[in-house]
Amino acid sequence: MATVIGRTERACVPPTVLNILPGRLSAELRSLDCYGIEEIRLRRDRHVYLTLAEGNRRLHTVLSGEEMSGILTRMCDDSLYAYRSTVNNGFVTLAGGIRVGVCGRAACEGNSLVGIYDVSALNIRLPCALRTVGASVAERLRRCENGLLIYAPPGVGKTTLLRAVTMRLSSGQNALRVCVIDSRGELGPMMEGKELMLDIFSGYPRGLGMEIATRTMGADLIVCDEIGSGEEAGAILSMQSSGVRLLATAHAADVGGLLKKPFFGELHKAHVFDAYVGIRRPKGACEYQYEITDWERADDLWKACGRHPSAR
Amino acid sequence: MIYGRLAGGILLLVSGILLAFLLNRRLGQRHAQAVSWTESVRQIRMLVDCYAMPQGDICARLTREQLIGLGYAHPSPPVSLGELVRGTRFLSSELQAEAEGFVSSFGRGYRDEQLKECDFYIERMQRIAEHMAGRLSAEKKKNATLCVCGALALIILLI
Repeated sequence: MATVIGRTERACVPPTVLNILPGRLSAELRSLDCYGIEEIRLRRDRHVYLTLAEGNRRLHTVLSGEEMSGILTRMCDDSLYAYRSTVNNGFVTLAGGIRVGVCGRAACEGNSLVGIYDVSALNIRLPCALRTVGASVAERLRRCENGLLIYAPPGVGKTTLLRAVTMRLSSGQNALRVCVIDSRGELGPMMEGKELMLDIFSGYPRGLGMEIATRTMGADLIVCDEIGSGEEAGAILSMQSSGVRLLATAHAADVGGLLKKPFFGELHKAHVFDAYVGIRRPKGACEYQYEITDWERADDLWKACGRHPSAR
Repeated sequence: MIYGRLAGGILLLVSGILLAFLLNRRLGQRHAQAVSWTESVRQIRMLVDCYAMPQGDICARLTREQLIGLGYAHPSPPVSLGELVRGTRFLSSELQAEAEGFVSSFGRGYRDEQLKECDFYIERMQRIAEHMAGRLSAEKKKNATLCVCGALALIILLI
């Protein structure tokens, strides 16, 4: 087990967020004396909540529907039409890589989402950029022939670890040529440094970004956040056959649960990943821990749960 | 004495002519502003339709000449359409109202709604421009007549 992130390393609410919030909420946030805010959860006609490492904290402010719509419009630079595709995918990314989840009433045409109205909830996730973590994960990846997958439930710290490992691998004497497929625009802004050998594909769909990075950018390593869609599998397998490694993250509570999903089962069979890195945060703790499961051990676990093709 | 009165009369007449000139120039400017606003909203519609361009980028594309044509009086360029409208001077009241209506709802809807809003305001601004164009000649004649006649009346009364 190794420590990933300490509590005091998170900053307070950045100005990018304060500027889009109504004045009375910004004032209440400025008056708080707390660090380590991970999320700001806004809900229509309900109290605003903060997610901290030690739990949730309720604020006095209650936002109206009009205020919520105003926040969404300001997040979209007063040009909601320009952000339709991301809003329909349930998020908007602010400057600095701050991702905001959007929830409301959906307008659909057939099975397609054409718009979201009456915004009922917004989840502002404050990113954390740390270069001091991920050393052992980066070292493990350098020794791997294939890729590495970081998994955890939502909100634990996968993206923070991914950034840190990416910056380690793309800098220094043995820097790798790293391409980052930054579909939601939240990885790139937090990875600063003129010495980094990084190519960032901002806003690209994951599968397309991987194909282009493999074909045209001569990548040693491709980094991607939250894989799991079937259309990415083809691109990943093609990438692997081209000799390019993948560092990615996924939602899962444990390796067994991860490999039960057909998408990851297929990638596991193809030996896309040499190891799986699980992150966890014990309840109430302010520190994170991670553990590395190699491919053979993961295969045994998968067989044990009876989902492995050879177990049928 | 007679030369003084003559000079005064000429001064009054020239003032009348100058006033007519300024009023007519203002009428021409207002018509040109109405045409500029119509064309600019048309351009904004195209940028939204083809590029889904955010408001800030749209404003950055407006040239200094365009801004002057729209009646924008600030030395620094606007960063939003709201700032553009707030910075305009000497628009006719009806054009001002349409411009304020346009920017108050801009950016709050998705593409189809936004394009319909643009079409709505293009039509309204075009109507204002056409109405002004139709009345321009008559208004100019009226201003010239009133100002010159007013000056002559003052000359007769005072001199």
